[in-house]
Amino acid sequence: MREKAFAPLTLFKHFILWIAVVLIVFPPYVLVMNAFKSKTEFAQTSVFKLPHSFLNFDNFVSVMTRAHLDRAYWNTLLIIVAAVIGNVALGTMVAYVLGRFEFRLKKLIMGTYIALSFVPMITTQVATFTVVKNLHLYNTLWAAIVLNLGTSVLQLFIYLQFLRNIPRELDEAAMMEGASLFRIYRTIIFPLLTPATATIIIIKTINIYNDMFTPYLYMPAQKLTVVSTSLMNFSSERSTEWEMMSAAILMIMVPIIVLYLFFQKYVFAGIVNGAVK
Amino acid sequence: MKKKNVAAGLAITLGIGLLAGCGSSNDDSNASPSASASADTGASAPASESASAGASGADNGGEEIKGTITWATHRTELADTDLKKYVEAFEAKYPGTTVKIEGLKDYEQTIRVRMAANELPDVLSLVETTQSDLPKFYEPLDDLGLNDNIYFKDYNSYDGKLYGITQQVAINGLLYNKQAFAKAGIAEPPKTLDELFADAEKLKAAGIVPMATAFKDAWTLQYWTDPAEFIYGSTDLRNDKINTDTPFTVDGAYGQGLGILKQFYDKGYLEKDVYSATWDQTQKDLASGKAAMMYIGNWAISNLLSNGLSLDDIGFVPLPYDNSGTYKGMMRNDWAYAVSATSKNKPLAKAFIKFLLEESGDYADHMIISPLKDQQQSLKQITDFMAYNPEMLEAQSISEDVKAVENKMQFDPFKFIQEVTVGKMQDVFDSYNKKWKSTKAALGK
Amino acid sequence: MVDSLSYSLQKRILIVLFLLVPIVLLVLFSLYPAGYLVYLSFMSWDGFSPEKTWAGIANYKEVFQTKEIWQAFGHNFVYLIWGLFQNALGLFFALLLNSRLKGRNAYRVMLFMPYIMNGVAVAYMFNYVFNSEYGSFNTLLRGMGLDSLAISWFGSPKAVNHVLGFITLWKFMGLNMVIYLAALQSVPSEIVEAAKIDGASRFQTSMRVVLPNITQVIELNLFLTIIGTLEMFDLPFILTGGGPLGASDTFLTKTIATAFKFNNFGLASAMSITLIALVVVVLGVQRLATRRWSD
Repeated sequence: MREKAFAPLTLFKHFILWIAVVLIVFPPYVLVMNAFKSKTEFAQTSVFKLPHSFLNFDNFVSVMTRAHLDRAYWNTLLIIVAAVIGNVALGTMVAYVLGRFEFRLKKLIMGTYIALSFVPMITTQVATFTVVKNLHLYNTLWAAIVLNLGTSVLQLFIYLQFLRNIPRELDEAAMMEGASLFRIYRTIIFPLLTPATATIIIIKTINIYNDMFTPYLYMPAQKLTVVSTSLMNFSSERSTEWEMMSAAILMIMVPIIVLYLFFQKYVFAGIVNGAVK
Repeated sequence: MKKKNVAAGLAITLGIGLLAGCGSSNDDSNASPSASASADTGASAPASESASAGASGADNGGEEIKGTITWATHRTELADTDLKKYVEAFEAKYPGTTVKIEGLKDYEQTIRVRMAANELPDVLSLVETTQSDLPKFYEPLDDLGLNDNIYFKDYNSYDGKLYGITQQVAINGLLYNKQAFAKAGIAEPPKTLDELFADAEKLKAAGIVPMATAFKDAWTLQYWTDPAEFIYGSTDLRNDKINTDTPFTVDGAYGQGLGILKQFYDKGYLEKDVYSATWDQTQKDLASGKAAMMYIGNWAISNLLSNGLSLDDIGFVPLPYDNSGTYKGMMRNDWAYAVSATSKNKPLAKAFIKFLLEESGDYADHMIISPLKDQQQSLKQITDFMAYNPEMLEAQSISEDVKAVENKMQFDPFKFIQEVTVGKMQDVFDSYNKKWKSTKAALGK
Repeated sequence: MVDSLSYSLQKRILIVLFLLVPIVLLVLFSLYPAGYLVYLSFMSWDGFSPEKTWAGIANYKEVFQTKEIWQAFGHNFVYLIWGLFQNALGLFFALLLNSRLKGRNAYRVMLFMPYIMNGVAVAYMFNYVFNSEYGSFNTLLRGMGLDSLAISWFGSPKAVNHVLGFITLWKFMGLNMVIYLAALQSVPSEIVEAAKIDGASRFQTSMRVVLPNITQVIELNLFLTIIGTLEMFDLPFILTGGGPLGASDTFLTKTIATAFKFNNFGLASAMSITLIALVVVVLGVQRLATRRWSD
């Protein structure tokens, strides 16, 4: 496992990864170039041209105020914290029950989860909207929270994958000591699912963060705007102020990258601690 | 995207309007928005000062204007700035009122879902239904007292009642960059169709894209059916299709009208690769002179300005669709203000619409044409356009029957224009005629 | 208190308690809307008028008789091919970045970055990458003397779906990678170590020990890829709007247009149900294939 800095295989790995990185950075290049351009500079120069100065932070400053990012971040944070905590709690519970116990309706429930994941969400919005409205969640932050609480198939399967590799002997040993099933879930299963949970938090957060559809449909009030919809302060029906949009997009990516770096420690914690034990 | 006949939305705002509104009344029975003659080019007036002489909203059946309403708008880019300014002015005028703005992207789809669940905001941009369904969703606006003063009074009407008032009027014309013309050695804008093609040739020779279309975005092509309606002589063209099984013929209005755009394409006068041409880039190219002309609504003038072209370098004239030396111009409506039938505070909602139309100064702020006949847009480009004395045609709503057939056959007018432009006209027309005929027969229209 | 209850009673209580909220959510926000979709597919409804009329199977008949719908579905398979490639790449990079490598955290962030990016930005960027005149990709090709390859990427009906397929890969490969990386953490390190002690090379360990352990997650990723590509909507909707001339329409962009542009919710619902049935068929084929492969 030790890495030899100049081993041919290692060099080759770096080489391949660099190709991938270049391919990935190539398109966003225009974002970086144009985020630093003034309105006239953007209008009059090619999008591929370097800006006059990379120290022109005017766009970033005016994004903050024009897009009301403070309000947007706050609303987004509330939604994400509530939805992700609830989602992880419910998801681990479902996975624990479906992964550890045998009971009559188990197959039916699993099947329902899978079957419903085939339904393209966008085609069922009329019915979903009626439900949200009748629950009096329309035009509240709860709409976005509740819509994101439900367990997805992705989540379910990742958890089940981990559960399969958590030895049942651990459960049995705890039962010998008289621990309740809830206690087993809370003190053994839940902690051992951490790498999966960290991954799910990352994916879920990004999905909520970038979702424009739910906020526009279910919480149109201006005081409820979130980060993704605040971007539309720079976009009209037909055209967009791309120099501002570029700055805004780069800015709103930062928190997510930080979040990723933070949570990925927990994804890989297993390796450091000597695996699932 | 559903607004088939409707002028496209607004462009990036310029902030404070460059032009003051002028309150002289206009009795032009042709309903043409003749521009005011005043050479009021540079003076800027705050929104509140451009108030019209119209009656204030307070005399709305004597009911008290108080309480809270929501206002959904498709103008997301302005929701936190200019529109807020208008709301604040309104709230200041009527103490005790609150207007909550909802700026919506994918406006129509969002509102349609809410419509199905009976959850419409009090004031909104009207989303089209069948005409007979209008009263189910919207409140009549006849009591605003604006009926004699607005354009497109009949567009969103049913049974003699008015359900929506367009938020602006758009005139379609040939928008061009004077610097690009000068560079190609063109002194005057083209006066005939032959001149138009000759100028295009000169521009092409000078390495300039003669006619921009933003073809990839498709909606930008919708204006090119205007020549067909000019040739037909009225905007009944689309609705009259119901009388025939073969509405699209090469030597008919559609063939000749769309033939103009097609010739531009065939001669290489459009963008080099039309499928890469987007409106985002087209604005920049028109402003920088990489492209010279575009046939589009007057609202696009402000787009060129915000892309750095000075107002003096922007030309706007009627499209010479033939060689007669007489001109026609097309007026199209835009999204319409409406009050929902479910609104719990209709007096306030109506007063607010009246305020937006009469007193907000929206049209002056954004260099567009007000739907009120007595609010004149004194922008030089509009005056120039009107100096050609074009006969103005007014867009019409699509009849129920035609809409039914078009929806059933999934007729996408933008895509239709694209196909005609790049394809073999006869073949494209044949296939559309075939579909038209069978669908019409199936629906028994 | 709870501790003293018998385990079989505890089990029952726990199953009910733990599943109660999730199942309520599932019923309200997934099952009911899906049922309503089925209902609408037998109705004739324009999406706004209060009256819906019974249409029987007329909508389904129309789905099967409209050849444009099936042409559009053909485009989805281009995405599917790119999606399978995307999956393989995701797995490859996950294995690569699961080993000890200098700077792997930086690589992980970079490869995951496209997934973080807002969809609005993705459309904008790629319009400039694939613009045929001055786009960066064609500039690159011309710079390498490959002028004949510098075609109109959005204008060619043959190329456009591949371009969109590539963009999908670009955006979602990182997601696959992150899911695989997580799954790899679940493989007990004992069995990996044991294989190494037996003298297996790293490649052999991957193929014989690690991959079989995560087949479920590989299947999950395939499953998500199949659903995602057959139900592709966002990217063609914002990037090409189905153009040129419908060459990049997908089944779902057609469906949404049918509902909201042409006011035919009944037909659109029947299209959705048909699409779901098609997804089930393709998934069945995929399962057969993976079963055979893993045997």
